[in-house]
Amino acid sequence: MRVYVHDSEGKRVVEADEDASLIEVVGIVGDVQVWAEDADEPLAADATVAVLADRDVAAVHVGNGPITVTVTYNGQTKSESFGPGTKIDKVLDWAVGARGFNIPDGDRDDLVLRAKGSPEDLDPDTHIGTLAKKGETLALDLVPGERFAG
Amino acid sequence: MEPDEMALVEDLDSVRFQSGADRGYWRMVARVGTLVTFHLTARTGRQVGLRLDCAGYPGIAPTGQLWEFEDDAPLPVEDWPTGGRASQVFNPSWSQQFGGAFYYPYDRRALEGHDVWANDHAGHVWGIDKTVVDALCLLREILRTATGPVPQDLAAEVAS
Repeated sequence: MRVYVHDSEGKRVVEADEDASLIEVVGIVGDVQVWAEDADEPLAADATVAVLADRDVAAVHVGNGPITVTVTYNGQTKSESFGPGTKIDKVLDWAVGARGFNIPDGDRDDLVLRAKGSPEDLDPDTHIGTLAKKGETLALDLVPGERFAG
Repeated sequence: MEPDEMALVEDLDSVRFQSGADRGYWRMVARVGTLVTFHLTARTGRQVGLRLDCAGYPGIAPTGQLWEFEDDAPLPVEDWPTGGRASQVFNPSWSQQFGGAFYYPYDRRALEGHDVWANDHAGHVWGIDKTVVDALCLLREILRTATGPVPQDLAAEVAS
């Protein structure tokens, strides 16, 4: 089974049997935990790769605790706590949704997330734990996607 | 294998490309040398075929075309995505003079005469550090903003 392993450095892929220990598969060193992608809680220490079998894509994050994400849009900021394995796409859903900035439906698809102050759009499957490195907070901007004219 | 094809194959074999493919963001349909066709799916579910000519990759940006797989030919203009940023990037009045190229900073034909884009769009400057995955990610984001053409099944529902 193909497992994507994300951490503070980036992502890699490993092949593993379903009955293999996740901790052994990802090669944990030190006081960190394994989080399933988009999960709010870490996996049990004795979890096997099989816990990921029913997912479309088997992906985990090796990291510390939850990360507080602060998103700025039109001068306003909102914050929420997410597991470190949360994808940028999920944060985007929150930011444009009712618990975020409540963007009207017709305008949501034009917005993208960037690291605060950066001109580069973030990949949708990037984990916030990768962006935050080993920190506990992450600052993002919610902005309209660029229009190429001229 | 020439250096541009070797570099392209390496990036098509990267974890970043494979991760997007496994998530259904894109699928490589075929590759002949540095000509590659992809099936792209936006978050909204809208899908489109495209072909990238990656000659000179990665030092030179690819140039692209919307693609129809059934006929293995350029997508007819009436089927091009419209609305939002899609209408600017998939712009028939400009693109048809340039082989169907995309009007954005990751297309070498669009870059000609648009030096100002390097300043205006600092986050989207094609360089040796960019890969075909950057082009696919940006095109997928642009496709997300499209509102037309209405899919045939939905059009039939509206008509009834």
